[in-house]
Amino acid sequence: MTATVLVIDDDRSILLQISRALAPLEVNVQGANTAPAGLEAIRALQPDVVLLDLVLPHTSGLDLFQRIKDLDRRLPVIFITAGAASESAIEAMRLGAYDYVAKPLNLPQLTQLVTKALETRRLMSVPVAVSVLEEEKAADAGDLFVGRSPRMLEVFKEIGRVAQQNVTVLIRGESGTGKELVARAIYQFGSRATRPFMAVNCAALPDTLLESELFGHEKGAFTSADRRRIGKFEQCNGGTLFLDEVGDMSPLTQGKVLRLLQEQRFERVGSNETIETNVRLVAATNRPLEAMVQDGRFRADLFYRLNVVTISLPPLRERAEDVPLLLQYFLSRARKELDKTDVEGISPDALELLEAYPWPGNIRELQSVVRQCLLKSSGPVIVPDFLPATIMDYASHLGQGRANSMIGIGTVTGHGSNVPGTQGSNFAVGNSQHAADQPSASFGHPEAGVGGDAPASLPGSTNFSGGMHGSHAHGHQDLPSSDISQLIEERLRAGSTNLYAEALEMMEKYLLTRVLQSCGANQSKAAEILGITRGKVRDRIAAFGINLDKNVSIDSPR
Amino acid sequence: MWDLAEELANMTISDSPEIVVSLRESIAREDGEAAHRHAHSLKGLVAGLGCTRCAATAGRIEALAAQRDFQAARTLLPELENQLDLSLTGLRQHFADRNSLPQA
Repeated sequence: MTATVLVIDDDRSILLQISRALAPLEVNVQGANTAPAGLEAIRALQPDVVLLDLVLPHTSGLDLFQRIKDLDRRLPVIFITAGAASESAIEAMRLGAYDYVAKPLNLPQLTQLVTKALETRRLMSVPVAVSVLEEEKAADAGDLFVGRSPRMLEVFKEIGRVAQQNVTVLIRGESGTGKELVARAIYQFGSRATRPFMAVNCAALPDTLLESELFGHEKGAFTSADRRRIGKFEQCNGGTLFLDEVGDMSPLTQGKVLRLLQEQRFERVGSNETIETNVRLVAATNRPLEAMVQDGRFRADLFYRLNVVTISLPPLRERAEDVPLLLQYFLSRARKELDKTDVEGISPDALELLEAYPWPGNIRELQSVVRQCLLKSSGPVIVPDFLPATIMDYASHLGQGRANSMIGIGTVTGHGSNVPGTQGSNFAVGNSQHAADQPSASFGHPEAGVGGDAPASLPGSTNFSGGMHGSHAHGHQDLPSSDISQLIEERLRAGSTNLYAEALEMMEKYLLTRVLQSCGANQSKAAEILGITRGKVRDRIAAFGINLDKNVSIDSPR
Repeated sequence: MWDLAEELANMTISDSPEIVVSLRESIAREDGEAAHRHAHSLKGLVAGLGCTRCAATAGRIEALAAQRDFQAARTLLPELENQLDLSLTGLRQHFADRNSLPQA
């Protein structure tokens, strides 16, 4: 079927230029010179791509664009304008325009852009390979494990086996595989679920600070110790302490932790008083501990203490069958967070590329890629064009033949081979005046100005932000502490200037979490106990990010 | 592609004088919206052929019309007409030489 391109512009020379330029694509080019005629044409012709002038008689192109999107939000719309007004360009892209070109038109570039837009349109019309989850499923779901691969099922079973046992667990896995999530699951399904859960990242703190963080210190123990500090081992008494990046501890701290594990006893820094504690330790690392023991960087005795039960998380590339499920999960969450709720899913071609990618940054990277795709997408379906450059680069390195067949360049009419595909590239469309004062210079050279692959984002730009593994610097905790005086002390030391509000929030968080725990997350019952309305309870749950799934807990701050 | 250039030139040669008349009229009756639109159309039309000076003047009139500064827009009209005249003459000559056909 011949594709239709609609040009909405009151300048008939533009229609002429475009229809001539697109002749090799064998598309049906139609024109409309006013906004009402344009809307009528969209209804009647159902075009595959629209080229829209931003300045039309009696109408702003942006207004018309909104109405076009109301009619057909899958329709790629390319803006044309005589000015190089960046504001309109920004506004247009913000509203979801496919792209933006300036007059005088660079026809080879425009041809290429239309080819790409037609392909996008075609792909968006294919049923999505990964669709978003039902509203209520995605809503309120805290971080959870997603996976059905045999490797992950094994991990789940292992968690179930050890959660109730009061043993030390060592979690191994590459960065971004979800080690902290395993720790939290062990906690939530364990017998200490109603007691505190605290996390300390051993790599995030310098040695002396880490020691204070874990064991506390007495006033005057060292120069800046102007008051006593309670350490995590003491604060977490009865609960579970998660030591992340345990392979990064210094030999001194390793020795102290070893003693604690053996005797459940320790002294605050600068104190002779021995404190008894009862803490379940869950540790994690991506370091090769065995090798570190071999060359003396990690204490063998501590290694054997920690390594009672080991849970190994597979890297994502070893459970590629979970990728669609993970994409679906994170897409459903991120589209709400980024207010992109019109996004329906991922096209089969895009999924194929995502499945082929080896995910060196594991789930954390996948999460970041999903966000990048959403931010780049200008329609309801994520097609290869919206994937980050890292994914596209990998696909193109896989081998030209395979990448081409996946990307499907210029297949709209069978004449697309005239136009080289530049998937993943974004044209930098400025007001290029290469035709200046030479009436014919802008025609006749299909090569001019095309083929410059300029990926919108550089491979190095993938950032691992957000989500499941927020940096757990000290102070991160999954249950609010019951010790408000301790928290107030901390904030005082930190020089807070908003302590009244902070203290009330601490108190409220604790109260809400505790009451919800006591009534099995039944919100009506919690409202009754608290003597406030159910709406208010719900509001607080949302405000504090309290998870209601298995056991009530507080989500890490975003 | 050459015939496209010529076709566009012919289109500009036939359309632009009409647009200038409409522009002059809308400035005379101080219709800012129409003046802005006509100046914009003319700018786009001549810019497509690479007549940059003429396009720049049309662009200035477009901006003045948006500000409803009809006095200043009016004073630019002779300059615009002069530049357009030169451009159109140049275009006619160019294609006449190319095709060895009599001038339109």
